[in-house]
Amino acid sequence: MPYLVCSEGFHVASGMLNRWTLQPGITDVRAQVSSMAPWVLANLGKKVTMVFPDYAFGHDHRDYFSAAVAAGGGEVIAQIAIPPTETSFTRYLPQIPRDTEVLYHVMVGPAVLTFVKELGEFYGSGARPQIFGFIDSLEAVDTATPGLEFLEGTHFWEGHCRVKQADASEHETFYRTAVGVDDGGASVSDARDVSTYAHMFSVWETLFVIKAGMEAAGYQGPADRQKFVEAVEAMTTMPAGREHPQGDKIFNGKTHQVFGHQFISRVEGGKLMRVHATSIEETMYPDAVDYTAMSF
Amino acid sequence: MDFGPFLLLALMEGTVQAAVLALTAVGLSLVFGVMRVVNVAHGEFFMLGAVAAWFVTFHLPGPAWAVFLAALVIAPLAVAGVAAVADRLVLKRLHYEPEAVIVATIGLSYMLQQAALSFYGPDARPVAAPFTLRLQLPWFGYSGYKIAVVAAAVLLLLAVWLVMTRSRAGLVMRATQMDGETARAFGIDTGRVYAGVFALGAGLAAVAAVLIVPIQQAHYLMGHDPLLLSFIVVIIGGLGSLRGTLVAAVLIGLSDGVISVFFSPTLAKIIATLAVALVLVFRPQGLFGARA
Repeated sequence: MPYLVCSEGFHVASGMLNRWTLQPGITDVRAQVSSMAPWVLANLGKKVTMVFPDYAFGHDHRDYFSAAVAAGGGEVIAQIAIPPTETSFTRYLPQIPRDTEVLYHVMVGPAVLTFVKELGEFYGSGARPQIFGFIDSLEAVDTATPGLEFLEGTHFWEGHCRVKQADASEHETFYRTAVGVDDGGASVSDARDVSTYAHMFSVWETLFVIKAGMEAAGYQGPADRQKFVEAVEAMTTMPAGREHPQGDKIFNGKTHQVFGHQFISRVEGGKLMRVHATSIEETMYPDAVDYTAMSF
Repeated sequence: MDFGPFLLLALMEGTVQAAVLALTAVGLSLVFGVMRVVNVAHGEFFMLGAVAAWFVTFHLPGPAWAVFLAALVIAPLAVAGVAAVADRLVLKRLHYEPEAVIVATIGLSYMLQQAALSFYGPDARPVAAPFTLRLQLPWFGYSGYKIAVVAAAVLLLLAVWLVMTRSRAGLVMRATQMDGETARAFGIDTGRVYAGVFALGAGLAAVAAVLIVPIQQAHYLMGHDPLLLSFIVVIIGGLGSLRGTLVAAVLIGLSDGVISVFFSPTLAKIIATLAVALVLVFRPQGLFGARA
């Protein structure tokens, strides 16, 4: 049965899965972090401390961002792995070396807001390093929440800009309206209900990939599942449009992984404003697997 | 960071943990002391307190400090009400049989947890602190609210101690604890005392949760750790001994803070659990418990 993933995990393109598994809606962590590392090193600093959750998702960040930093002439001076069940973080923060120039954080789960707040309390009004975070640490959380003022001027990766940018395309506007999200990234029916905007486009785009794949395969029923996978494997470019509101993409049929633009935003006046967009080419890396050579 | 500030931060974190733990564990200890009931649902009363605090602060209008104070009163009362009803409907009908009560409170804990999941949802939701004050020390910043939590916990514990030792209600509770039959012979309605104590124990857990929720957020699975740590504290301190519970809470809270900062939180839990095992082997009644 075809299995379409929206997890950002590198496990699809690394070859750990089988031919039925595809990730056509969102770029994986390896691509995200390696494409942004050069910008971080050039603009924020070269001595990096990483804070990440201690399981596969965090390990992808640890492994590929560290590699990209080393390749770019920087250095990861500390890696702080936090158990996924942790609810309090202040105790980990003294492990951040004092000569850290960039603090890289990517936290997920129910305690993310606590993490960011405690980080703010810890540094307070004293000297702090540049902070580069994955928006995962703040998905579904209002950046204007009391206690998060210290985030002003810090940077975040976003898969898709939460705040509608001045140059937003008409496809972006169409998608935002269709899913009921306002220009600030919250639900149109409840401003306190903030969306997971940086990730949720992947579900929308994956559904349209399924539609396109079924049409191309002439899908009639479960007997055509294999034809559907082959039709998706045959896809190459995905132009920006209503089906792909996040932007254009390149699909690699051999590794079953899609590649797209990545965005870096800075918090300005409590809002995430885009300051950099990577090209698709910057996200690409050598193939680790050829699923098309595998039998079904 | 240098050793001195590092140790200071560890001690501050440990003190906050000890204060909240003491409140939670005193509730558990009280229920066991007076009723001889091992309340496995204690952690879920803690969770319920946090969730109730979210509902109160989310729906009441007004400045953050006012709605938080309202939550500090309403949430524990609501949780105490739930506990009193549970006592009347379930525990009383089991005649407080120790084994039956353990199974019943396990069941109760799942009911409360799933009810929270159904009516509140799987999200972790923040409650705004009543004030935002940051202490800026030369080496690091610290939340002023966390210091306030310690102060509030000390005041509340003092109040519990005064009620237990100086008030008529405390006298009645102690009488029931010492000898329920004789207390009944003196005209004390021990059934009402039991319901009251169960409600008070749950209410204390709820107060602790309301204090912690601006730091940790309300989540339907947040009751596990407080339950485990409360049992550790109550067993080390001696079941039913309030003084022992306090001493053990400070001991476990501070050691947890220091060990987790300098080594790892997992090691802190391992050592605390090891301490329980040692206490059970060498001093089964706990540090301050009376021999059964």
